Amino acid sequence: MSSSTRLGCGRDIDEVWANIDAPPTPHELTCPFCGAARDSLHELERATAALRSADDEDPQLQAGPQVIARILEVARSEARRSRRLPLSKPRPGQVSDELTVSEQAVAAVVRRTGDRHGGLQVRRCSIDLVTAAPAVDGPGPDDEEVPESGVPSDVRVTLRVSVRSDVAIPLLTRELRAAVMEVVDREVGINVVGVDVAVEDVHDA
Amino acid sequence: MGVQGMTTARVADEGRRGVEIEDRERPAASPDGAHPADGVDGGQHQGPANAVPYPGGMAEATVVGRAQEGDLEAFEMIVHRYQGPVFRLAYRMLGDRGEAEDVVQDCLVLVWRKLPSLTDAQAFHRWIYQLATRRCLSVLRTRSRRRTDATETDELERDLPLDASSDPAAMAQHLAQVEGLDTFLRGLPDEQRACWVLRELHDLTYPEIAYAMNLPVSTVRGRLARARQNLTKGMSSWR
Repeated sequence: MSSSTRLGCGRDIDEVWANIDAPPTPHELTCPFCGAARDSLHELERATAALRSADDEDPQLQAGPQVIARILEVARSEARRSRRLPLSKPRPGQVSDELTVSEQAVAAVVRRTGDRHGGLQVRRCSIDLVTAAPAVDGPGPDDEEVPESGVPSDVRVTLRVSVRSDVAIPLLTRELRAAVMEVVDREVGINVVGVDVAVEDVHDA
Repeated sequence: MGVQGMTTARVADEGRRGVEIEDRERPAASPDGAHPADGVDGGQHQGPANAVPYPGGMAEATVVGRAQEGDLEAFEMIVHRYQGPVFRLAYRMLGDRGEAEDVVQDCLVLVWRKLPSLTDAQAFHRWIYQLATRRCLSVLRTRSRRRTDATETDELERDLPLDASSDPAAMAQHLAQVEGLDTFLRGLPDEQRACWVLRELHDLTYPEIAYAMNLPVSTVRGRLARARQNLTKGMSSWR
C-alpha cells in the first residue's frame, strides 16, 4: 500500500477506519495522529450518512419518466422473439399451421399460475412441442391414422423454480403440475402432457 | 489490528476468466449495526433498505431469470428497481443530471441486450454496477480528453429535504456537512471517487467493487484508504 495513507505514527489510515466503530485502542487513546484521524473519520462518517440519506430521499435524483419510457421502448422494439408452437397437432406433410402461439405467451400463463400458487417463484420456463405419439396409450399400435385438424398439440413444460423454505416440495410440485395442466388447457388450448419441475433455489418465508 | 473475517469470492466475468479474489473485509464491527455486514453474498442482494423491492417479494434471481427469457414485464421491474441507484451513482460520479440520465439509459439498454449472456442470475447486482461504473468512467475519460471544466454548480443541493423538527443550527450544520463532502468528493481523482461512492453510498463489498472496476481487491482497498484520507483532510481544512 502506498505510503500516502500512512499516519505520522506509522499506522495506516485504513487500520484506524477498521476500528472506527469500536472504542479506541490504548494506542489510539494516546497517539495524537490516530486520535485526530479518528475524529476526522467520525466526522466523515456523519457527513457520509447525511449525504447518503439526502441522496436517497431526493426525488430529483432519479431518471426522468421519459428516460424510463425510452429504455422500455428500446427493449420492446428489440424484444427477443421466441419459438412459436402450433395450437393444433401438425399433420404429416402439412407445411404451415394456421394458428400458433408463442412460447413466451404460454410461459407467461405458466408463471402466472405459479405466482398465484404461493410458496414458489417460477424462474425459468420452457415449453417444448411433443411430436412423438404418446407411448402405448390409446388406440392400438396399428393405428397410423392422421390426426385430424383441430386436435390440440401436446407440449411438455420444464420449470426451474425457487421454493419458500417452509413448504413441502413433493406436495407443492404435485399441485403445481395439476394447476399448470389445467390452466394451460383452459387458457391456451394446448395439451400439457408433462411438467418437469427442478427446484434450483430456496427463498425465505 | 481490527481486521477480521477472511472471505473468498469467486467473481466470474463474462468473456474473461474468473478471478479468485481473496479479501479481508472491513469488520462489520459496530454493535449498533451502523455498518451492515459485508458478507460476500451469493447475490441475495436486495440492495439498500430504501431500494424499491420487487413486487410480491420476488427474489432478484427470479426476476432476472424471467427477463433473461425475454419477459418484458420482468425487465420493467429491473428498470424500476435500478434506475434510481444507477442515476445516483452516475450523478455522484459526473455531477451532471443530463449525463447521469444518459448513463441510466445506456446502462439499462445494455442490460437488456446482454442479459442472455449473464450466466449466473445471482451475479446480477454486481454485474449492473459494473456496467454502470464502466460507463461513468468512460464518460469521464472522454471528458478529460476534451479538457472540459468539470465543476458545474448544481441547484439540486440547495433543495435538500431537511428534517423540519431539527433545530436551525443543527440543520445548518447538517447542510454544511453535506455540501462540504459533496465539494471534496468532486475533487477526488475519478477512480478514488468511484470506489468511495460504490462502498459508502451503494454498500458494495470490496470484491464487488473490484469486479465493477476490474481492479485487484488490494488496489480497491488502497484507493478507498486514500479517498477517505483526502476527504477527511479536505473536511478538516474546511472546518
